[in-house]
Amino acid sequence: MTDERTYSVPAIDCEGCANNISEALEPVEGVEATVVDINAKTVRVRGSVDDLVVRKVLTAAGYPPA
Amino acid sequence: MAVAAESRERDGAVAVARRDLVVTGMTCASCVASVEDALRGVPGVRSADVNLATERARVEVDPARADVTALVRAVERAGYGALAVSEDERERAATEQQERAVRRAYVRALGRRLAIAAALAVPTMALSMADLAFPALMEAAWRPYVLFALASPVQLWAALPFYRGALSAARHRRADMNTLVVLGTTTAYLVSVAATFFSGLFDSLGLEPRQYLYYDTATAIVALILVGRYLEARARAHTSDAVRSLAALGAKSARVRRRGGAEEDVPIEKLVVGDVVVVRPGETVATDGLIVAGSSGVDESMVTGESLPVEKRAGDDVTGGTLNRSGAFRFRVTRVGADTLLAQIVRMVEEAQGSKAPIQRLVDRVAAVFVPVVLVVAFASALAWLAFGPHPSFGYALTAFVAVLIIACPCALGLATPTAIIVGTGRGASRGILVKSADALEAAKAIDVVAFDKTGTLTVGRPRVTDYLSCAGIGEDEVLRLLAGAELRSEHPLAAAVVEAARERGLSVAEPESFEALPGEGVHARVDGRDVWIGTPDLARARGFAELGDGMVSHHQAAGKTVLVGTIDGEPGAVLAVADVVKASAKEALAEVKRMGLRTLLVSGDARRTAQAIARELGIDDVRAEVRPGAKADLVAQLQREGHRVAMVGDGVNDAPALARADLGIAIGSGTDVAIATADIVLVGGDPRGVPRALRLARRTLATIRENLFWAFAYNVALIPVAAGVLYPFTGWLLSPVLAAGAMAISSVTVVTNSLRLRSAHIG
Repeated sequence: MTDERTYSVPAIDCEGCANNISEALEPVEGVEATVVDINAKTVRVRGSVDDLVVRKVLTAAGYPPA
Repeated sequence: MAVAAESRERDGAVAVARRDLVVTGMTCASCVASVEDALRGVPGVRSADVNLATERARVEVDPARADVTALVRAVERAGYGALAVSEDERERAATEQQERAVRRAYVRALGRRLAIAAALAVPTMALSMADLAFPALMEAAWRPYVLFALASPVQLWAALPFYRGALSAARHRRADMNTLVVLGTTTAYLVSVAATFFSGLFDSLGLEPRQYLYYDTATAIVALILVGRYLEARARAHTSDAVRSLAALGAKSARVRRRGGAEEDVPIEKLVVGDVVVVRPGETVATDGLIVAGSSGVDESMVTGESLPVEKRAGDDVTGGTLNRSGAFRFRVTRVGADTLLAQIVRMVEEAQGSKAPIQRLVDRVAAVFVPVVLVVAFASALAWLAFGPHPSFGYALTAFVAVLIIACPCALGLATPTAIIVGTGRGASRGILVKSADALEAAKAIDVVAFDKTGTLTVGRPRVTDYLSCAGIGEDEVLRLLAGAELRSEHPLAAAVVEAARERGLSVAEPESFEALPGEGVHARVDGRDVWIGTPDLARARGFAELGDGMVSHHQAAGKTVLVGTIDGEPGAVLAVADVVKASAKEALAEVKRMGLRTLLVSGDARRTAQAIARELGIDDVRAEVRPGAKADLVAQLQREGHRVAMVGDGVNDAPALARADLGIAIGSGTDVAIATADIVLVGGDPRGVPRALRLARRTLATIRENLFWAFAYNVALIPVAAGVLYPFTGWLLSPVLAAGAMAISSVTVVTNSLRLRSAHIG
């Protein structure tokens, strides 16, 4: 099942954060694409991946989803 | 690992820093007192704690006034070896290696002296006793000279460490066990030398010089005491094996996956948080992290003591040092170096092993006055024999003097408590029980009430669907799939339980097309074109399903469960009961605690009905429900006022004050850092059976300490009057100095072996 989910991540400030986040999500099994929107402070994740896993990885990377 | 914790007091602005030293060459409680005195004598030192068994000194200094070299010099002046433990991680490893080398060299040197002493003591004894079988030997003029030749290397070379120790003690106007050994054996040896070379002196006093050959006594004492020290030094090296083997668990390198998929081997110290590490079957997990792909069974027994491999998949935490068994996975590094769980465990156990049990402080004080008292007793008994003894009174006086000095050596006394604590805490660590200080072990003994927090301690801490009944005609899996779809967007823990229940059945949960949360009631969503409601029974009633499973609803509620009712397209869908389930081993843990004769108590913030249901299920004696988070500490305090000694078991931030307040705070592994910081004992891994195990371990360790103190002390004290000859007028008994030396060696070895028995103690 390919899902697309959007997470609101208040800690996103800049291009660096965007890089960190996509780097953190890239090795996660099932993640096909990650789009970080700096202005909207959101992360869009496409792929067949458990919501809980994405949330944990984001939190571990220092960007807890709201 | 930071060994020097600096803190600054705000008012006086006095800085205190901690410095750790490795101290070598200490053999008894008196040595400990000497080193402590030497360190306290250095200007700027606020306190000094020396542990004989770990050979560590922990010194608190004012860093502006005292540096480490001054401390090292002070210890060396007192006649012992010292090595500063570095604050730097890498230098520290080097220091530890150096330390091990120094210890190995010490054991080897002792071994050499022992071998020579034993090789010469045996013929000395044989030749001395031979006159019993061959009376003619008594007359042989060469005999004293041969004995002299055999005994001298023992007295002048093998016994050198005793002389050195006694000398440095004397320089500081102290007397320790070396003083006793040196005084005793030197007296015996010198009298023999006089009888050998100046026999005229004895003749003129009317004494028979051949009866004053005590070479056998002197050599046997030196050899036996060397045996004791050698065995003790070797056994001591074993006592801290448990921690060393924990520390050695870590992998040397890790396979790091770079962006794009390229992999490279990276030495463990170069790993950084955020790296992605690939772990294949049979490999050791390099550091702490979060699994992002793959799944596997991981053997965590080295950390938690739980022998069955734990199934891990994406989203689960892994711990550095654990062993990957079956599958392959990759994880994101979350902690490295000193922050990892393993490093924290090692640090905690080392701290505990270096800490002094209250009982040890008493022992130290006694030991400090013990040796001077023994010297006085020895001289007094010698004088008494000279004055009142039968002929030859000089011989009796000499025997009593030497025997008293030798029997009274407090060497076993210095080992009794620390060896038991080291082996006990090490044993605990290997079973996932981290004892933070020796005080905790003593506190655990007096406990009579064990209070358990509920959520996360006895229960999994996460609600799960326990009962599910579907009443729609579209198949129960389909109903659950739709309900889970409706809950997918909700952040309520109950919603997560429904989604998880669907995933466990392998259902692919669909995203809702529309979603609306009704706070406190439930959710309303459109999933796969169907209109789905799920929420409280009240919500269902409001939607017109008054008759729906009311009997079942109240049945579940009576059992302390939360009930959810779902409807699909206006038709009744399903009734679900959700509850925080009890950990699999909780019941056994509670039964064991009760078998130990302790009262159990459940403390929970939940509604009375929920708490009571759990208490009934687990057989807990008493329940305090609806306890506000801050009130747990008050409850503990109230129990203490009623005269109870309370152990509190908990995991959360809100348990921390109660853990600190309790006589014994036990934090359970999955717990938060705050809870772990305030607890006295930490159970890694979250198995509540750790509670009875920890209590049993504490009891065993304390029993061992008591046995050790008995062997080390009572026994010596009881034999001093015998050695002095108190029994002689009544029974004719006088303790031979050789037997006294044997007894001493045996008591040291008994104490250490008794402690080592804890390594295999059955604690459940």
